[in-house]
Amino acid sequence: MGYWKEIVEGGWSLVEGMRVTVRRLWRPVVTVQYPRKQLNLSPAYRGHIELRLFADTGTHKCIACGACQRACPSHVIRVQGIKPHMKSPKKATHYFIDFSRCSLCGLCVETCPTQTLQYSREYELEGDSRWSSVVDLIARQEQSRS
Amino acid sequence: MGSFMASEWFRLIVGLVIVLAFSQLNALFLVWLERKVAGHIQLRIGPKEVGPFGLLQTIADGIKLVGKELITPRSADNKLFPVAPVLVFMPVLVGFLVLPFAPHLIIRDMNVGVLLIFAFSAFTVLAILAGGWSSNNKYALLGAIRSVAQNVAYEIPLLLAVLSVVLMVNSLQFSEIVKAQGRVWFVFVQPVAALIYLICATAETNRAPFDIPEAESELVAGFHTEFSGMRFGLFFLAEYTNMFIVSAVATSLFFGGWQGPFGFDLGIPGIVWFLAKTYVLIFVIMWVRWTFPRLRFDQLMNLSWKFMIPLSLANLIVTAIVLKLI
Amino acid sequence: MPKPIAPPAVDRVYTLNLGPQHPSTHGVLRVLLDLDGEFIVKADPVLGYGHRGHEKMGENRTYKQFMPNTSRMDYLSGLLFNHGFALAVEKFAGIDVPLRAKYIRTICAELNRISSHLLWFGTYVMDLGGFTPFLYAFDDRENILDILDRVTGSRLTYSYCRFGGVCQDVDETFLEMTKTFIDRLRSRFSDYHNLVTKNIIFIHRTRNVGVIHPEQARQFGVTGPNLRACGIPFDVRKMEPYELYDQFDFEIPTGTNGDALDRYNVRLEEMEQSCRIIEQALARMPKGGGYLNRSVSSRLTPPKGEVYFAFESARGLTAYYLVSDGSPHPYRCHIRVPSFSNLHVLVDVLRGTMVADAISILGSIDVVIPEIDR
Repeated sequence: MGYWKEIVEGGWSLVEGMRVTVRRLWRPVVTVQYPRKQLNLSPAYRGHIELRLFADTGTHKCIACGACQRACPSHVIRVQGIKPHMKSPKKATHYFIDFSRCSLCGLCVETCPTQTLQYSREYELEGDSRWSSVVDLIARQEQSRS
Repeated sequence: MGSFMASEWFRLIVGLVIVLAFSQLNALFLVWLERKVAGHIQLRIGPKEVGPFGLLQTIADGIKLVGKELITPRSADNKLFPVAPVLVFMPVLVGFLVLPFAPHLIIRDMNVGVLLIFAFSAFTVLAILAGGWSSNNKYALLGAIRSVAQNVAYEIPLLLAVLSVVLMVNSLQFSEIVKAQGRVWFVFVQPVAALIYLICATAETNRAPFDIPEAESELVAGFHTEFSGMRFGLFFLAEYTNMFIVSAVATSLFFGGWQGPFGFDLGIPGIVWFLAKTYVLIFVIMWVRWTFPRLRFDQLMNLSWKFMIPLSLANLIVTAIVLKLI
Repeated sequence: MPKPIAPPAVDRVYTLNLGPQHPSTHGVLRVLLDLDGEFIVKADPVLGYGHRGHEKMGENRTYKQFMPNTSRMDYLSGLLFNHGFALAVEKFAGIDVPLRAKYIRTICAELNRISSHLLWFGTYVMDLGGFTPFLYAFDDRENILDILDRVTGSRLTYSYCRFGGVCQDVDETFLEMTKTFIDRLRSRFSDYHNLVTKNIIFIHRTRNVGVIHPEQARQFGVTGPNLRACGIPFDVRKMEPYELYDQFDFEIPTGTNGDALDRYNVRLEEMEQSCRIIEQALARMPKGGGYLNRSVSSRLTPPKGEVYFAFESARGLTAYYLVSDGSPHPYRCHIRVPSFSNLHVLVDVLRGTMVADAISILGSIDVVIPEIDR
């Protein structure tokens, strides 16, 4: 008896499976044709970090304190700054980040005392050598402003 | 010259040219269809970039395959290795000789047509064995071994199923078998044989869920692991052409060939009926492939020896008894 | 389970090198198989191709800096590993966590568990040769990734948890999306059952394949769904409840035979149980109360001593063992990963099976290679 039962039940289970797939055949596709159509990035999207542009000063507020440099687990950040005058606060002149080794943990953004770091919304990055991932964020910001 | 035009040789040469062109075009189309069907079943689009609806994608892939280097592994058998892909493709072409596309569209309407087509399709396993063995790769060898065992097991129920049809018509000639289905297709008279034939044909062509000789997740690519470029292309071509042939044979044996259902032709030419039925069957085979997981080797054997062979034997005996009584 | 009839002669046995590059080893695992025909005489997993020295990295970083590493060991349940590490350090340094943060973490962790099981479901059926369920599972998993992407900003390596909370609060949309997703997932299960669970080929490929006996499981330290499939209802969430798990009503699904089919059923049932936990958490989550304890210093220094903290990741009992010498860096950081123990039961289970079964068993045990090699 088990012999016939297996044929009938097994056969029926195969038919059921085929019903599931054929129903999908006419349903709309769920994929997005990427270069032609793009999805909205999530509001929390973490791209590589960049310096925020503050409306009141028209520039960033990086004081080259080096907190991000110390917080970074992968040591990808190098900040250089100068003191223009004896009394004035320090001002960053160079902010290097090697994005190829960054793990996007966000510790730098969280530790920044002046909230000048933020995640960019860039995700289409390319380069012809590993050095093209090393960016000076201050130069980049000035370039994008001009 | 005139006598040559009318000669049997001329007919054969023209037939061969048409068959070669058709088999290539058919494979190009089937690869595209397979990818489209798979895509839409999986809620994707499938090929769409090259040509309208991606129809030319396979041509682009074919050009790429032709351009690739033919790599022969150092330890491979360098006589058998290059021959195997050719060997797999040749017998497939022979099958076209006897396929009845329409009442007069048969290259050779032989009186042993059915026998010839199955004799040559059994050749494929030899080529697979040659390919798998000669590449001197363990995965390829395992694939070849599995392929031989599988083909031996599935030839039997396949032929037994076909035999019950042959018994009813009393002929091995394709045109006779098709003509006998003028009123009722044999699928309604012989449903068990038709089902067994379709299952075994899927196994014969190494299609999922019976694709154990090339089981991707187990044997990487099975018997054609080491083949590159157009050598791999020929294996691929043979698979799809084979699929067409088994579906075409099923069409003529069980689904009335070039005739419409129950004697109604609806004014549609025979070749359209024939191709339409064949491609519907091919679609079903593709649909099955994208639905089921693969069987294990010993389960495959069980299915054949414990279910297929007894069922087809019983079917044959019942057919014989009923024919005797009528 | 098929076994070779007689011990084969030595010259009949040949070695098949399964991996490190193979479609079904899910990464860089290598298994040396001694075969007699198609039957496996001996199986020997070779590890270490993905070794990155996470434990050593842990000793050279502050506790906070180690957080991104944790989601890179088991990349399929990164958030669970984050969560566990945060809990371990919180236990070590005695940090309070706001109640809202606890709920957020639990919801996200359970979502991550579902996504891990969904991916396992897809890849396992793909190992058995069925391609389509893989893409259906990915379609569902994509929803979870979208939800988690909204709050964590990342789709795979989350680094979401912080000591004393999480790094970002959730909004109403997140809660809405989670609810919608759970309803959607439940409606999809019937398709999964029709397509895979009831399928006769699938049942034949998994029933009585790769049976792990409870005693064997105990000897090898097998945990997680693999252990529960043997019939032992061991789940850290129930046995040693951490976070809020003692307040939720959920069951531990168990199997009876310990074969691949049981492991499959246990995992599918676990997804349902995770859905239940998420629903309860969504209903009880307080509106306010903060998502992060801001008093935690960035150079956190736990007292001298050691801590061992175990939690349930998607693959089983995972544990962090941290030793502090009073400096901001751990003196020793050890991670007990479930895949490592689960993998080694293969040596026993694979003996006498066929190559096709080896793939099925390897897939059903659900190993993640970077977690083993760490």
